[in-house]
Amino acid sequence: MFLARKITRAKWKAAQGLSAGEIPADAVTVDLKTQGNSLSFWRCGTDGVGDVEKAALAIASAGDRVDRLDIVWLADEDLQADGQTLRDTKGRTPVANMADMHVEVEALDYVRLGKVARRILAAIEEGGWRRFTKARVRSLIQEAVGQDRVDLDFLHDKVRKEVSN
Amino acid sequence: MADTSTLQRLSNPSMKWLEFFPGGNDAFDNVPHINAQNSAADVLPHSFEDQIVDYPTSPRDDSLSTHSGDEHSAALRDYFLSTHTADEPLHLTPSVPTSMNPSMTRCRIRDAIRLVYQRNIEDSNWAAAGPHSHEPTHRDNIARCLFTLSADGTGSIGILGTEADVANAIAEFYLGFLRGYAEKDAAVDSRGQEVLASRLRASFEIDSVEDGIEHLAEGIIDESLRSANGEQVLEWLGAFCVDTSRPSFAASVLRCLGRNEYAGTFAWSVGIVRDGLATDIVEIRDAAVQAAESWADSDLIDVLRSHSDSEPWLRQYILDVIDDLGG
Repeated sequence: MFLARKITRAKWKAAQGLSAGEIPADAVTVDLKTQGNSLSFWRCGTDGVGDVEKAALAIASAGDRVDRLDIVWLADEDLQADGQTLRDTKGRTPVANMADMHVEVEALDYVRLGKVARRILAAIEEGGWRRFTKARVRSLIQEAVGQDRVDLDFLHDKVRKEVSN
Repeated sequence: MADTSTLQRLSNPSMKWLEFFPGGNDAFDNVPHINAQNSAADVLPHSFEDQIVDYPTSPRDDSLSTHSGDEHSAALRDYFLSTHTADEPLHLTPSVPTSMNPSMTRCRIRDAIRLVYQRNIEDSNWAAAGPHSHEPTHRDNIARCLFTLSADGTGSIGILGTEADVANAIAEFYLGFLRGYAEKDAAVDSRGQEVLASRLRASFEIDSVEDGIEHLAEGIIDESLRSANGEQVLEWLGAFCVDTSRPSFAASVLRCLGRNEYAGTFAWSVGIVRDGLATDIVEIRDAAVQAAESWADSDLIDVLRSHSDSEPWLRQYILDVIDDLGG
């Protein structure tokens, strides 16, 4: 089982002054912003395209606007091996059957947050991430609307307008 | 062409209000601080844009009677979007700003102009010369908007008769204010650039730019582009986007700029994407490709094609965007 999360790929590239393998601080402060010492993830049954796209849909359809989307996925067993605390919670997404696929990685402190960052960097290096272009994100949402998996009325105005065109 | 003498009369502080507006003294009976002896400059507040008109709406809460300009703008926007199509003129009922009728909502002419102008730009019904241009089409658009505003023609503060040449005169007057502001702004250019940079930096400190989520900086950029020195602002933003001494700031500005459909001309967009791709900062290059993706102009394909990136994932992204743009 995998857990997926939105990232900003470019932030994870070692910047000037950093060596390969070092995690830029911006990647942590921007992409791993905690709330209540927790980070939000979405379950993917597998790391296959279909399951990753479901997670992407859950995230993208909850946004204010349609943009490209970078998704990384981590094996839940790796997080558990790191001593992370995982808790299933109701996710906020207009995708009807995805709300129950939400997981909080909670009780994060400086060390455990660093371990999450380390896992993300490793995932990126091993190809465990994917970028969905804006056009693909739009298609995913449009397909879901067409299949009645997403109600147009539950989308943000700008998203609704974009997928309705 | 505008009637120069009309413009001179409007801006002459010694011209008496009554001389200009045909409504007569009756129009000012309930306005205690305004009478026929006031000069037009007294009655026209800081600018023509600040003049007030009432427009019909459904009955509203009386609390609307003490609103802020933003609330008026929002109410006008709601009214306009709910009741008009692009082809219908915006009928605003001019009146003396005296009592508040709950069935009327008040707004400032500048908000009405901005809304009508913006709306028509969105509908591609008007030949867009840009919100800061003084091209004839821009003047004509404003004149058309003002002509519509004055369609009821009852004569009131800021609203004259139904004659198109008078509306044209007001348009020139309005544009005169814009030119005046631009001249004033020219003297504080460098300060303006610092202020804009500070505002944007502050917004990025409050929150980082996140794909799929609106950001405060978009509003700052939009507002700045619509200001009287919008063309100067474009230059500043272009410089911010490729400031490799501040790579995160540059990338953030570029990502937000990419979200603005009307940021600049095609040539300007090409320059921005090309200059962004030419930097050695992957974050800026990535943001440049995203801007091209967001602007979604197929004419940007050549710029993308001409770039070969050292990062494999960015190379793939460029290919995907080219494909999405129809290349």
